[in-house]
Amino acid sequence: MTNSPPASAQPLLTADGIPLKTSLQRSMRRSKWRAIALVAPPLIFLLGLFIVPIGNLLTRSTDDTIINHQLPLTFAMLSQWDREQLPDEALFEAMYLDLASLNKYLIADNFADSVNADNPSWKVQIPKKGPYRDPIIRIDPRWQLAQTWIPIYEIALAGEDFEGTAREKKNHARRAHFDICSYLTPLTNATCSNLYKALHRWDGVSEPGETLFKALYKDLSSANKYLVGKSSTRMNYAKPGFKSLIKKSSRKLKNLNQPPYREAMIKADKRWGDVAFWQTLVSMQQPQTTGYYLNAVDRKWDKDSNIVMQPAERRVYVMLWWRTFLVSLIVTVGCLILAYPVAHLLATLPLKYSNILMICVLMPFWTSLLVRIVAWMVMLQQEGVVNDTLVMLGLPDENRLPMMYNFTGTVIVMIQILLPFMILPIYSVMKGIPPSYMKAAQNLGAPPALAFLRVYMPQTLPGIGAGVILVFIVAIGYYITPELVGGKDGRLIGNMVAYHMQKSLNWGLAAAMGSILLAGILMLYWIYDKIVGIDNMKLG
Amino acid sequence: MSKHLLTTTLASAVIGAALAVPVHADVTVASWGGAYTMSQQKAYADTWSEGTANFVNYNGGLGEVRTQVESGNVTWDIVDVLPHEARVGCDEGLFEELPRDVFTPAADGTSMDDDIMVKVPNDCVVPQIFWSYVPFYQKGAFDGNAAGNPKSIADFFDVANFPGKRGIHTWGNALVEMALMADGVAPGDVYSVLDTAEGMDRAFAKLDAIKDHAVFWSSGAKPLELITSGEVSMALAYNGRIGAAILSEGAPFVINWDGQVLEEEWLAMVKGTPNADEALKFLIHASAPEQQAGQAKWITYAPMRASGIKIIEDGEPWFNTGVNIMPLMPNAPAALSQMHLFANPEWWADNGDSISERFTAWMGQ
Repeated sequence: MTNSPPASAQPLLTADGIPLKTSLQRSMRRSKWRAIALVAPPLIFLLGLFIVPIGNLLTRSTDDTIINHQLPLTFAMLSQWDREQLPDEALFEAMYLDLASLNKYLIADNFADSVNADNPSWKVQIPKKGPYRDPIIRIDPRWQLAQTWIPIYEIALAGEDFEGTAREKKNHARRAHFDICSYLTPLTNATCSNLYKALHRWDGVSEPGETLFKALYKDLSSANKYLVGKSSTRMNYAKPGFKSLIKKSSRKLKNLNQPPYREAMIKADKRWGDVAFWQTLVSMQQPQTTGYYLNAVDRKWDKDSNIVMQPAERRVYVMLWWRTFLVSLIVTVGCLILAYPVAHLLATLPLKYSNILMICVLMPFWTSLLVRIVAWMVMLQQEGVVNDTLVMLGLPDENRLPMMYNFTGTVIVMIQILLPFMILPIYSVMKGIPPSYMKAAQNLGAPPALAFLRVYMPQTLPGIGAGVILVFIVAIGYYITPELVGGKDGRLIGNMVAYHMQKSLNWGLAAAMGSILLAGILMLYWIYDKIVGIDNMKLG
Repeated sequence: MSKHLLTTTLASAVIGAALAVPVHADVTVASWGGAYTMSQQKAYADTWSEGTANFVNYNGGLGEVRTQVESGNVTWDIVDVLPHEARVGCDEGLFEELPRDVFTPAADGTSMDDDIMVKVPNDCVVPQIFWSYVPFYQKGAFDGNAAGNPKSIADFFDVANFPGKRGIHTWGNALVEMALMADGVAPGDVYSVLDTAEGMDRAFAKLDAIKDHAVFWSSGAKPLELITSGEVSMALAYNGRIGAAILSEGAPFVINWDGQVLEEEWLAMVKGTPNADEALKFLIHASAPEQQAGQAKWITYAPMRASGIKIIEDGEPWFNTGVNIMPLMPNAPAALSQMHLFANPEWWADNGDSISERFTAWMGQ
């Protein structure tokens, strides 16, 4: 109503007396909502299955909180160390307390922030056989208040609040075991079953007693075990050997109860006496790390926070990035060279022939990827159809060409698989170019080659652009084909991403490589937009 | 009309909901598929009277399990895992810890954990099978060869005396160990040698001897094709694949047990499964010596329990087609009397990533 018409002018009314403007707005609003409702499913789909996972991926690639949760004392002491000599007793003690006793981060609120050598609470040890209440309260006094326990008390009570079969009830209660632990720890897969039982025996008002503290200690100890497991995996990325070092130590050191720890730890495992293990800890100190990105380009942090190359024999990713880029480039160019004449033929042949040709293009497109790959194996392997034919034509038997399980194999198979992605957009653009243009050019005196170069080809550029971008982007992330036919030197970065997702479980590194890939594609898109202009791209 | 439609929809929804309530819970087992899952189906599921076990295929790794456990939406109850995953999964709390005294002891009273031929890594896992990486060739491939047929792992790395290409896999497991054994390192010293930088270089130097003659495979069926087509003269393969080809197709393959690297395979229960009770019953059933031995009626992977292999030995001919199977078992006394190595998953947990990087770089050079 801010720009209502001047009072003198009579507002235009509809038949039922409502001002036209209001009525229009109303109907516009309705259609706007309808439009939103129509795009809602793909929008939600995009948000849920694209934006959220990519965001998750990006955070995973830099997240280093788990290790900081696990080694708060060690990291607090690390800054006082000169990073050259083997650490002194204080750092060993911190490491011992982080590994062998219950991690105090789990008990104390904001513990990591308050850790320093002067704070007496970090040296408090909880005896394995109890009593538990006093030491836990000394670490964080809020545990003596009933209100601290209320949130998990409520979770425990909700565990019994379920109607159903005995079995469903049991499973519902079991989930509450998990829920208590995920409230208390950064883990969603730890089970706080002792607390669950103890909380049910509590009235929710009276001062929390030893039973509750004992349950707290027991459940957090088992959660702590998983944290140790996870963080040792993380530490092993930085230095091979850390995993078994931590695993063995956390088992052996349990029985060590008083200082000095330095000699005892080195005796338990001589690797604690190797300063290189301590030095790699420096690179893990921050809760956010660039280490995974560095690893993805064969680099790492050294003890003085400089970026250095990985040891020569571990350098593999830079080579794979180049190879991936090269394969994608060759495949794109190869597809373009093969697709252009085919598309032209498709666009210019009479309908009855072009239909048959189109089926020939689409048939492989509809055939299973695996079937096509296996067919190529039969064709190209050392004892395959192509080599057999060549031998029959006089190629010496011992000179059979290696065309499969290597770089060549990957390129050939990928070109064949990605060809339709190039043919179709070029074809659809060519289809729209009137044949009269070429005739006109030739009428005006241009020889066929010139007419093609100056008149026909420029008009097909939008299709070429679309095909090139499409093929290149698909090729750069390819992984099944290189896995099956790549053999020794035809495997690409996508195979490493899969390896780290499925086998080594180094999701941080996989996420970093995925992010680099994504950034690379966005950059190519941007360059393409600058040079050719994205508006010129036509998919049909 | 529309009212009628509404009633039918409602009615069918109600009936559907009623049907969806399980009468008795099924156990879902994630395994590798193919002949392997078939053997588990026959030996474990078909003989199990307390419930139904359904198998789903997966591709290995803990990615899926981790996702299920961390999201609290567990749909697999049991998963069939490799040695590395068996340890990581338990360390990181992705598997349930199991009571150890409920499992069936051997006939002589030996507890299950003592009956297993390797040290049990943790309380999460129950035994499944041993499988091994082993070299093999086609009968007749070396006829007329001056040095005769290959017999040892050293011969596998000797392309001068045993000509032809070699089929090897695209990752480092077993290969670095075999390279050292072929280079004269005693099996017991392999991992301590590999722990030194010189030892690792030595292994890769030995691998260099076959690199230019290597054809790399990544799926288990491939080495058999490579041998059959004659593309390679010798290849490494999973022993069960070779065994299956020999037994069911009569393939003329010869296995050289010398230098084999044996690997473990375990079953574990996914943490937080709603079918924990049934899953435990299934695990008790599947890990009993009879069932362990029974699986070898269908596939030539070997029971991890000593009492299981004993049952087979006493029951020969054991295979479902009525032939002897002991010659194809990687942990039969005859195979174990030759040079062999039980892979050390703890060592691989430490060094797997760095070897994987080095091996990939090595292949591509």
